[in-house]
Amino acid sequence: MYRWEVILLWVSVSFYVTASVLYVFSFIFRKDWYGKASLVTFSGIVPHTVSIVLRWIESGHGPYVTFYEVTISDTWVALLLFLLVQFKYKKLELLGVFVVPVSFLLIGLGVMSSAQIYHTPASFQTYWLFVHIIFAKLAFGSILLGTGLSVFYLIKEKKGQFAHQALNKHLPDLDTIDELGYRFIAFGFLHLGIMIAAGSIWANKAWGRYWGWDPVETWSLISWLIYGLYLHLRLTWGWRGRKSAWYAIAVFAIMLFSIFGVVYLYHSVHSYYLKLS
Amino acid sequence: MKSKWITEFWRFFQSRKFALIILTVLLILIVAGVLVPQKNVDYKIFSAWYFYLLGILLFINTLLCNLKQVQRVSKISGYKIFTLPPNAFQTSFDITSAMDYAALAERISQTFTSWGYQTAKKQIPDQETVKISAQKGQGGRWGVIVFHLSFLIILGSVFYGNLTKMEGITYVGVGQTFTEREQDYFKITRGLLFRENQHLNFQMTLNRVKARYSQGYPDVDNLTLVFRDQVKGTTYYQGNGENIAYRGMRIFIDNMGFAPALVFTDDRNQLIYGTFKKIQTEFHSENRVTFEDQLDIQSLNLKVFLKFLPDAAKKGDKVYSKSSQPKNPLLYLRILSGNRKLFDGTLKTGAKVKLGDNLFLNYPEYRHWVSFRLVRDVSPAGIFPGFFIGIGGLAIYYLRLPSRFLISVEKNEKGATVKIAGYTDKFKEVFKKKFEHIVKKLQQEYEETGREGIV
Repeated sequence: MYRWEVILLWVSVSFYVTASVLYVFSFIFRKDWYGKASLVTFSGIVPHTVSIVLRWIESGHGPYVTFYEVTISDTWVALLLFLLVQFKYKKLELLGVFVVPVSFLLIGLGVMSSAQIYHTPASFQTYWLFVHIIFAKLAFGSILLGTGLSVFYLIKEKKGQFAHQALNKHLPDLDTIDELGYRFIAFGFLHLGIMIAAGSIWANKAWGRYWGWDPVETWSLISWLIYGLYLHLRLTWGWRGRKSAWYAIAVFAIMLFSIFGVVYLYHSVHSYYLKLS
Repeated sequence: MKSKWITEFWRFFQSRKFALIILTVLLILIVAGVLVPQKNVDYKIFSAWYFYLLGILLFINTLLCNLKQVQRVSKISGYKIFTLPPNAFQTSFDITSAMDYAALAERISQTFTSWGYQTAKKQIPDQETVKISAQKGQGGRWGVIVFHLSFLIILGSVFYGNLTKMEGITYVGVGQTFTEREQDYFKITRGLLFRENQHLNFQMTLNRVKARYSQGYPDVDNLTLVFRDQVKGTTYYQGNGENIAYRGMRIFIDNMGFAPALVFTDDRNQLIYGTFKKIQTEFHSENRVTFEDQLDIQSLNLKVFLKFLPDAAKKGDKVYSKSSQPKNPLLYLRILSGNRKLFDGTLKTGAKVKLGDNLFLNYPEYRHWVSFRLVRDVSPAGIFPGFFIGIGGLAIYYLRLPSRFLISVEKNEKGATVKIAGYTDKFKEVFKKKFEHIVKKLQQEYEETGREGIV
């Protein structure tokens, strides 16, 4: 089963590489291949899904214990969210230029870490952990999309009336991009909040403390606060458009660090779940 | 002059700008706290007075902001004519009708009422114009208030919990009884308002434990505890150590280890000294846990180095433990009297060794010990409902879209011109579609003779 899991993951990776190349090529050389790129991304999601399911069956737990599992499942949620959003907003194909290569690079990071299966102790098996994990993934996915929209807001704004056809055909107007970016980030903020709440309830159940200033906990709180500030800045000081987009892009690095980087630097109770080797 | 200064300060104190400043300073402190390791340093940010002070300021500011919001939102009434900001969506269309413009306005008002809007109508004096205001979904504004209320509940619970909480660690060997009182704890931390007489004084006896280290964590297969006190009598617990709750106290297994019995006797087999020595468990990595300790027996002038090997195996001359499960337990001992080595080797249970002319060491058995962490903290009772209230608030905020329409029906020679403006303070793209939909429905309902595009 393990062999099939790895083969299918690599099949999906090859689809994502192709999709990334198609997206970036279309954007740089102004070709209208976004539809094809989205189709290739969708083709990658299928083996990616089967690979995750096979690992789930083999390990007996969801894909959240090792760094490998976290990256492959987080990117799966992000890519699926991106494809689903395209059903609703046809004019967001260009977002793939940001979302697919970033996801592909994160899968690459995951694949480079150990794919060994670890088992969790019985005391850690609670549905709160499941809620915690699901919302962490949804938060990452929606914030990734929101950040991607912020990137394209700045590009489209800079090009102004000289924006090439793709920026107009495959992206909505600036106000809509700004509004959608805000909504995705606000959605991510809500999910981050639920993730922290569920994690806190789980920690209280498992260790008798709802908060311990553990590095991963603290970085999650930092992410939540900076996105809370993002919302307050929009409401209180009317940060819209360019300012808001720059802020979203700048703090995305902190979000990435709190999900994927903290376990490299700190020893944390979460290190158990994010074994790197 | 003074009162003006105070008014300004008060206004700033309850402003969202002040909230932003507090949040930013808190954020900087939290980042500093996570970058500077907080263990074994004097400079502990997360428990510093200024960190708590910022929390209290945030609490007061949120409370005042929320009260202001409640006042503002409760004043909004759909039964009075209101005005809309200049950036509201606007359009207009003509209705050709034999009906009077006032009757048309009445019909439009009724149409909005049938769609669930609160409406108000007003004839403009000296003009042949009727203004209608319609609003719906103002509950969405309460979402933010509810969310901030949850924040207050959470912060309040954290403060109260920290003041009244108690957390203690105790080591209990199999067969031993722990009494829940100040002096029986190995280590205890208390909130400012927790008093020694608030201990529950129950007794907890560790009857049996089967535990091992699994991937770096103590994993209990079976644990039996007996609780005794005057309130509840005798209560038995049997399980894997999860969710032990007794009289509002939660009990967690922190660590586990082994305690060999060391019995020193003389040549007539009379007891000289005996103890169950709880050997320290040291966690090195997920697959490596060691059980090593030292014992000074001053009355016998002995220094004993102990190493417990639960699953002993031999590799060349080296004896090591394959796992933390007591499958083949061996006790390694090095006993010194001053600089003189009396014993250096491994023992199995039941062993007896001669250490000197009139001194023998017996190793009859070993037992498990478990370190328990006992926690009394009422804050989760406020924090966790607070989480759900907060999520509920955000759900209201996202699911209810406040919509406000201002319609003006002006008489013209064919019937009336309907000018319609719509506004929401969030999700403008969603509202734009709703606005277009409503205009279309209105146009379908009344005779459409012309329409300008949405501005």
